[in-house]
Amino acid sequence: MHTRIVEVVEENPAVKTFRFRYNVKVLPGQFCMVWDGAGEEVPMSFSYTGKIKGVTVKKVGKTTDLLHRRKPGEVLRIRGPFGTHYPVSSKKYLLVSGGTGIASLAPAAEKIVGRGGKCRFVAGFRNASEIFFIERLRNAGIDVEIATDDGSAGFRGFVTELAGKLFAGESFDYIIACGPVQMLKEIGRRFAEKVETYISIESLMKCGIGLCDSCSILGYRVCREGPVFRAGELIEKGWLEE
Amino acid sequence: MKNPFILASGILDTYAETMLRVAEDAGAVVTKSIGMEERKGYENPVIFEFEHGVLNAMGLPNPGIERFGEEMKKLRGCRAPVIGSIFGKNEKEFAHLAERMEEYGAAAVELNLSCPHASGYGMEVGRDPALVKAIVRAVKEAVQIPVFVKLTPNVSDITVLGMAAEEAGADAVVAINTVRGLRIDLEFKRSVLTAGIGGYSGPGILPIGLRCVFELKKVLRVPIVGCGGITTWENVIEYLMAGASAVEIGTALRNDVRLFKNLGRGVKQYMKRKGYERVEEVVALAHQNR
Repeated sequence: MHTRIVEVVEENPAVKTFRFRYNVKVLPGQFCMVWDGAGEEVPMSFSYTGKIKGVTVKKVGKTTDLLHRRKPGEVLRIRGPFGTHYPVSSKKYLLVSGGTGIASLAPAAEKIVGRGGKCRFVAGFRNASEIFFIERLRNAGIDVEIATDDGSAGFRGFVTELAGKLFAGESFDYIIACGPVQMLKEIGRRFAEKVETYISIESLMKCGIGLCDSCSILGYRVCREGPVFRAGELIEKGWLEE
Repeated sequence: MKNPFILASGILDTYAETMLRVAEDAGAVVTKSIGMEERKGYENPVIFEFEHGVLNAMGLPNPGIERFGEEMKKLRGCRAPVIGSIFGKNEKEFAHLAERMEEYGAAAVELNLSCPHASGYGMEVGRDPALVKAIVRAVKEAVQIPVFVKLTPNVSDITVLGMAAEEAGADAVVAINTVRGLRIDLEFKRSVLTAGIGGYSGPGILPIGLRCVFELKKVLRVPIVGCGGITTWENVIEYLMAGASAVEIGTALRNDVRLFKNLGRGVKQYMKRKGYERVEEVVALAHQNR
C-alpha cells in the first residue's frame, strides 16, 4: 500500500524516523518492507505502531542514504506488517537494546506500560552522539538506563553487562532484546535458562513473505517464524555455536 | 518417492536446514538453481504479491556450485531424495554442474531451461529446441542419475520443447516454470520489480500449467511432473488427470510449510472415495474421458 510521509524526525545525525498513515494493525516487533520507488526496497521494524506508524532508519549505505533524502509529502510503498511480535502483557520486563535496536523495542515498552506492566529498559550505544528515543521512553514513564562503549554517557561498557547488573538485583518475568547478533547471543547465554527470553533477529530479507529462504537461519524463516524468537528455541538448534 | 509431492526449485531451498524441514513431508525436494559462479541476484524489490499469486524476479541468486557442496553435505541424511537444480549458458556448463551434483549425492538433476528473468540463462536457452537437445544430451552423457528438464511455458508450443528433451534422453519433463509477467506501480509509474519483467506463479497460472501438461501428455512417453499454481488437493488431482505423474509445489508453501501433509490427506480421501488404490490409476484420466 502507498502512503505519504507525514513527518520526518532527525533523531541523531545518522538516524531519521519517517512517520506515515498506514491503517493496518501492527504489533511491536513486526516489520515491513519499505520502498520509495527509486532505491532498494528494505526491511524495517516498525518504531511506532499506533495510528500514525513509523520506521526509524539509520544511514548505512546507498539505499538508506537515498531514503534519508525523502521529505514529508513524498510517497512510500509499504508491504506488511510481517513476522512475529514481542510478547506484551502486564508482567515485569527487562528490555535490552543495542544501537538502533531501540527502534523496535520502544513501541513494545510503551505497550507494556499501557497494559499496566512494569518495564525497565537498558539501551546500549557506541557513544553519546548515537543516543535517540530516550526522551520518548522517559515521557512514557519508562525507567531507562544507558550504556556506552566509551563511557561518554551512562554506564561504560556493554549493555549486556548493565543488564546483568539489573538482573542480579531484581526479578523479571521476561527479557526482550534487539540489537547486533553478538549482543543477542550474549543475552541468550546469560539469561535464556533463567527467564523467558525473546530476541529480535536481523537478517537479509528479500521477499518478506516466506518464499525465498534468503533470511532463514537454522531452518527458520526470519520473515515468518521470526524476527522475534524465543531465545531458547534457537539455542536448542545450536545458535550459540553458529 | 513416498508421495507425489516435490518441493519446486527456488522456494525455501537455499539452505539445507530449511529444505530438511520441508522434506519431512515431501516425496522429493529440488534445490535452488545453482550455476557455475556465485550470483547475488537483483536488488529488491524482487517480489510482488497480489490476489492471484506472486510475481518474482530474484535473478538466480546462488552460492555457485563449489560452495553449494556444503549445503549438499548437510542434506545427506535427508528423508526425501534431493534433486539438484542447475542452470548454465551452454551444454558444457550444464554437464559440469550435473557432474558436481551427482558427486554431491543428488538423486537426480533438474535442468533449469526456463527461468524467465535472467539474461543468458533459463528460458533464453530453453526456448530453442536444438539447444535443449544439445544440453540434455551432454548432461545424459555426463551423469548416471536421472535427468529432469524443466520447461518454460513462454513459447507458442511447449510440446516442441518436450519432444526435444525426450528425444535427447530426458528421464522426465517438468512443466511449467513461471509465466513471464509484469505489474506496474501507479504511484511510481514503473514496474514493481527491479528487473522489470518477472515470473508469475501461484493460483493464476494453474490453467496454463494444466494445459501444458495436457498437451505434453499427448506426445510424450516419459513421465511428466506437473507444476504451477497448486494450492489445494483438488489442483493436485487435476494435474494427475491432465497427465502428470507427480507435482512440484512452491509458492503455496509460504503460508503453510506443512502443506504437503494436508494435500496428501485430501488426495488419499478422494482416491478412496472414487475407488482408486494407486496414484498411477488417476494419471491422464482426462485424456480418456473426452
